[in-house]
Amino acid sequence: MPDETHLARWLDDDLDGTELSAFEATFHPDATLLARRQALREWRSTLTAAIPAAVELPYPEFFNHRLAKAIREIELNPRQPHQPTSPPSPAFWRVWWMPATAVAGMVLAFWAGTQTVRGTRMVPFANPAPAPVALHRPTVYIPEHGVDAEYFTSPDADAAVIVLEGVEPIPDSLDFSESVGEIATDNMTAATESPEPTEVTQ
Amino acid sequence: MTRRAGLAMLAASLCGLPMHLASAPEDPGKTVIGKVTVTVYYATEGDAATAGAKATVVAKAMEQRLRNTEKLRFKQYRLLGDDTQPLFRSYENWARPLKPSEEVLVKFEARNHPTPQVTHIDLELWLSHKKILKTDVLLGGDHPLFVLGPEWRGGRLIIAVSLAGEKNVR
Repeated sequence: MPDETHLARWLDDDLDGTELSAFEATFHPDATLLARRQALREWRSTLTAAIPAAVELPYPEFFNHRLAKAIREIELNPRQPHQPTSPPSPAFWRVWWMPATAVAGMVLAFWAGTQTVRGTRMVPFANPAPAPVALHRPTVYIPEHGVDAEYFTSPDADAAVIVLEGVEPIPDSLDFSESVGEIATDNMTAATESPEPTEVTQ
Repeated sequence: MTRRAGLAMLAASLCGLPMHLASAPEDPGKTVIGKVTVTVYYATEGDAATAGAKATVVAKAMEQRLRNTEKLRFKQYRLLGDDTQPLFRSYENWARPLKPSEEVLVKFEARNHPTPQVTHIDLELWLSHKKILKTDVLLGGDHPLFVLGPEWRGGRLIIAVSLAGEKNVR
């Protein structure tokens, strides 16, 4: 029975040449091991197809840090005593298979994250709005039937915009000529005492 | 009414003083924590003169700002009216930018205490005495809210809500 290291490298198709010949001369895997090696191969091919070869690994420093951390955790956890005459225990698969799956998942998640960032429209650096203002997503409530509202931020105008459609037009006969230049006086209303001015009806 | 306020009213009536000079301490809810300006623009692809002879030309900077947003891009803009009102600590207030008409009204109220960077307000837009829109908006120093509103005389009204002047943030 080969040791765990050689077995893991065989599963990972890492043995070649004389090493592979020597390994296969002394070890005859059963159907379960062959199936697991095939599953690993399929997983690698899926990973290769998902990540274009031309794209560098995203956030290499952070990725390497997480990888080193995962390796340290493996080293800190004592392995189960190996029984040469028995098939590999489930602990063996926890030691090798789970970290490999976790690392592959991290790679996919980071890659998906970079794709999301690329599709986002960035706010121009010049004359930026304060971050809380630009990121704020307000609640928009339209009580009137038949009226639609579209909210968006306009980086070019440095403003929030709400477009109302379906609002009843204001009669052309109304004239606002007297309003230009007027400054109103306070018409304070206590929110807790008087909900609406009497002249406004819903 | 508290005993203290009652005594103050009694003393005022005996001395013949106006009531407001001897009244109880000011309501902290009336503290002005900012100012809100509501401006109404007329935007049209046609002749801007239809807005009326008194409608004024919009400042170039604001006009450019409106043109920078596709949905607000029109051939001509005119200023129809504006109104600046205080933002109270715990009271709502109304702006009537087209007064004496009440065709366009904006009700606003502070949602929380402003910071030097942003002011979070609840806002309602009333058109023709109907509540059309209710929202909450973060207004920055120079970060207004534009609402593309109803049609009028072949164009659209754009209602701009912004902070005005120096804020008395406490």
